[in-house]
Amino acid sequence: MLTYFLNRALAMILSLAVASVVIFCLIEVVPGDPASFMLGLNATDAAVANLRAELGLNQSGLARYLAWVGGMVQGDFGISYTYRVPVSELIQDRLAVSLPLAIYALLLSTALAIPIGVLAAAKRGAWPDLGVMAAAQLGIAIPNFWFAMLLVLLFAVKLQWVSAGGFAGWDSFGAGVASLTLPAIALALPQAAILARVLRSALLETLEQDYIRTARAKGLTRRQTLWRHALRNAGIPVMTILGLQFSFLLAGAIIIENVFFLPGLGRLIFQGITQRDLIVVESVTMLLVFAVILVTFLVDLAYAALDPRLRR
Amino acid sequence: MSQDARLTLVHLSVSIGAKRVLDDISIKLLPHRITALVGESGSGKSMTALAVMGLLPQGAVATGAVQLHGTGDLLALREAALCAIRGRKIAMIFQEPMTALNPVMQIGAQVAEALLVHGLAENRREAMAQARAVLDRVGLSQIGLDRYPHELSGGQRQRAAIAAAIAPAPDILIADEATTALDVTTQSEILDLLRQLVREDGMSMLLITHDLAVVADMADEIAVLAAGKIVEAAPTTNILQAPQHPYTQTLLAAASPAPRAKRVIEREVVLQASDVTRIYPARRRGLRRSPPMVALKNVSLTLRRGECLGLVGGSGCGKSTLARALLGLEEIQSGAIDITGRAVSPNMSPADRRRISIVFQDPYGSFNPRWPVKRIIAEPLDLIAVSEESRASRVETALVQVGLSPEDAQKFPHQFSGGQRQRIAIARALITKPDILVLDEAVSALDVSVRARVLDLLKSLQEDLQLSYIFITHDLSVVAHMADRIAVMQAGQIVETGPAAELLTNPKQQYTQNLLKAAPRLTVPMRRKERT
Amino acid sequence: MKTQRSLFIGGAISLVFLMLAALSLFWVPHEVTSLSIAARLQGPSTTYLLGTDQFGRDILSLLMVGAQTSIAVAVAAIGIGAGIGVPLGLLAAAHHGRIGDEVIMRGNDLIFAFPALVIAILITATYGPSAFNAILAIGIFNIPVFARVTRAGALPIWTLDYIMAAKVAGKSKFRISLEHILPNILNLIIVQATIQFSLGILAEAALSYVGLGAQPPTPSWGRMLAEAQTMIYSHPMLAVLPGACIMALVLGLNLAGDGLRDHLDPRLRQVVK
Repeated sequence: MLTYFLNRALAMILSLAVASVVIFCLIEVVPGDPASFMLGLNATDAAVANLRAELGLNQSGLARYLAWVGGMVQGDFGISYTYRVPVSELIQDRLAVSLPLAIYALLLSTALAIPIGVLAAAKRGAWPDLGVMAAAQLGIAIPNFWFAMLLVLLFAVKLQWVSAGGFAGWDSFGAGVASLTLPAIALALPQAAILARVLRSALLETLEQDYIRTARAKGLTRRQTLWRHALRNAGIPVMTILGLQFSFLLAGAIIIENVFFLPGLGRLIFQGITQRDLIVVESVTMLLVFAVILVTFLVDLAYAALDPRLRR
Repeated sequence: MSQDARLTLVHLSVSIGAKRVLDDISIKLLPHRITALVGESGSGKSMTALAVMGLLPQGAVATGAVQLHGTGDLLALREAALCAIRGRKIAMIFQEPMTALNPVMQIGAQVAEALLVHGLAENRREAMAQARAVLDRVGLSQIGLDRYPHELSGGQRQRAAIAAAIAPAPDILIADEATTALDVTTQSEILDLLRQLVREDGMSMLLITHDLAVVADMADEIAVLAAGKIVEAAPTTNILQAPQHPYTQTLLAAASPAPRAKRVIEREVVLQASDVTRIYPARRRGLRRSPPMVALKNVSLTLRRGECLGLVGGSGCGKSTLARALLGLEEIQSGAIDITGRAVSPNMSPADRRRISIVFQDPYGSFNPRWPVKRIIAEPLDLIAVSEESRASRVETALVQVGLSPEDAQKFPHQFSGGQRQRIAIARALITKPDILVLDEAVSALDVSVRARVLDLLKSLQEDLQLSYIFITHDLSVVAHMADRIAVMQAGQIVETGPAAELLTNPKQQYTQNLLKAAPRLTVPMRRKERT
Repeated sequence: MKTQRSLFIGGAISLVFLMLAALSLFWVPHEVTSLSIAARLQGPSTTYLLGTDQFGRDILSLLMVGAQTSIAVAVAAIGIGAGIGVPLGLLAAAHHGRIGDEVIMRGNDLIFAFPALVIAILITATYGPSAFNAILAIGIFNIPVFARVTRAGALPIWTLDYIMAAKVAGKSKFRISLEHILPNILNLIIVQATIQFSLGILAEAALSYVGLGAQPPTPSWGRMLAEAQTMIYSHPMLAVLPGACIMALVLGLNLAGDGLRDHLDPRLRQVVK
């Protein structure tokens, strides 16, 4: 178990290291050098020279990379060129919106998907099953930002139950959750449909296994075999999808912020792109990649918890 | 002996759609008795067991009756009532010890589960205590309750499965090919265990198998099943000594092939392997490091033209590695292999490779399903310069040699039966006009009656083409039928070698003696009398 | 029977969009680059079948050219993904358990850590937004998907006896991969391609919605949605139509993919026989 954990942790650190090199190099190869790129065509030579000095462009690439990574490890992401404040502060504010949104959506979709998936597998071929299958087809096909727009159209414009967007802040927890609810539903519903379908087919495949027949021969009822034997085994493929879904949810959350005018990471990064603020872009993408790699690591640990064959 | 039958199948028939898979089966299971149901694949053996358990696949319809003593007809029971019978009154064990246990559940919990489900234990702790006792009883006293299936060997897993089945003390135990997937020594241990359990608990046992030799010294009665019908049912001694039905007679003849007549082979040596050693290097997986593995250690053998050398040993003894080395697919660390004067190695030329070829066990995985037979058979010629006409005529010759027709060249593998596929595999092996054929468990997957015909074909080909065979098998009766000499392998070494008849009757090494003792044999045992 | 139906329905929907996209190469009802204040925000009429947007452009024409953009981006991205991913997967499977396999699979895992959106952000931040960037971002994202499917399909085949027979005949790993492995996993790759096709359509829409994809004046479904968002209170139909197109095309492709998979799956086919 410890070797497995160390192996996975090592793999995670390695991935992070390589990912940071990739991001650093991509930003490095901008046309011209980063300083003149950020300032645009009309910049004076003096301004460019100033920024070059501020970015440390006179040092070697390796030194700057190490300084960047070293800073990030200590929580220092540099100073945003356009906002003139530490990027870490910017990220902290925005993360307080984006992260709760992604987690909210993930919890919501899992909470919906598990009972629905089990129900569909148990009633294979009957109407709950057909309903789940049809909903899953729609869930995969619907672009979530468009689904979000439809929700706004229905609940904000037509029914006027909720406001169309904006974020109430975390001063009041209830208000914060309330303003994230519609976005979370928009993200979670299509994912829940997909997850339910994956769970259903994983369960059905598991139910074909020899050990299910053994369990039935012991005198367990269909329902008992489903809950006691099939669900845990089916959980293994479902974990994979759940891990993949997180990166979709993260990307989806960033895009969907646009629909609801939420001040999250998405807004920050798109503003960064338009304003050519490479410092912000570099740090936020690294953060996103870190989140995905971290979730992969957590999924690996969950595998080991579910499957004793992996704990060696 | 005049006890009531525990379970009686009365005119049981099962249909799936329009197809009748079981036809009018009547069997009686008595206390303390083992009844064997013997048949080839597709005869309906497993379907019988599933019908008894009420676990038939969807769409299957059963008629007749399954009378359980004290309960009545099981076919008439509802699902909830059946759940109370399954596992409690009638328990079952299955073929594959690898897949029949839940991989993510501890062994103790799997044994205790049946007790809890049937309310035979007050609580989990009591159930676990009982599970411990049952596991001790089936010889797993060394195995902790918290072990998982993958941490156990095949034989141990089958013992655990048996423990889970007998824990609620059922009246009837159904064993469906329960030892087929195990190697011979493990098989004989499991059979001994089953026999002992039946004797001690007075269970009725239904032993389902394709292997007549397994039932010969186990069963009290035998029912022979063919194409869904019982063709003959009688006490074991009668069936073995005086089989009435022609099908039983062929089955018996095929299951005990006559040993090969002694031949003196003095032609030239075609294959010479000396001190062959194969070591798989250490491998790293992340932070772990597996040690180097010695797969072959100083293996030496010779093979003369027209000779058949049998290669026997338990699973993992290095037989297959040796075969691959002889075919020039393994890098060997020391020693030398030489075929008709040319060295064998992974980088030898395709022209040199043509002198040795191989026939595999699995008649399904042996061919690219998308290729027609003519392309499959001719593949070994792909890297050898052979004209297009000559290819076609060679394919035709090879097909005729193995008893297929030249028109079969256009067909695809899925259009053939298992036996025919094995003939195609032999044709592919013959196409390069080799000196040596490696037969790697080549008949093990075939039903006995088909197997007998393929063995005959192999013998006549050997005569006609003066082929040398390396015959790899775990089945000692087949090797006696085919081999002139036998080499016994254990842990990567050849521990004993000698003329077939001599080695089988008078083995020198302990390992060979164990192997022979464990092998089920089709002789009518006298000790059967002890039990009745 | 059921698979035939989903293949048929899905294929028909996809074909309609493909044909509209192809048609838009030669003819559209109204030029999509001509803006006209006079014709802005009109309802459906015989001149403008689906009405016009706030710049007076014909919605039907925009949708047709938008289909073309979406499909072109998704197909090109499959080309990149399959063109690089399939050979990598074959290579990894051929060297299973060796260092080559390990390197390829670790590389795959690494790309998986970069969602298509992040790749697009990085490329756009440095080179500016364009349809080509969208292709590159989605294409790179597709590479590990194809590599994994190929490797996963190839590995079990490498253990089969007919591969050993080919080795005995002296064939190289390269030739075995080409003759035996690839033809037997082509089904899997085709089915994966239809899945990546529909995912590509969705990704393209998302990227152009946030301004990282095709740029004006090239119409795209995602940007139509972005532009419609400000009008959602007064003219909701502007936001409904492009989204419905995305959904319909993706649904069609998925149905076709499911049908194709069942149709090509030899296990299911044998049952039918």
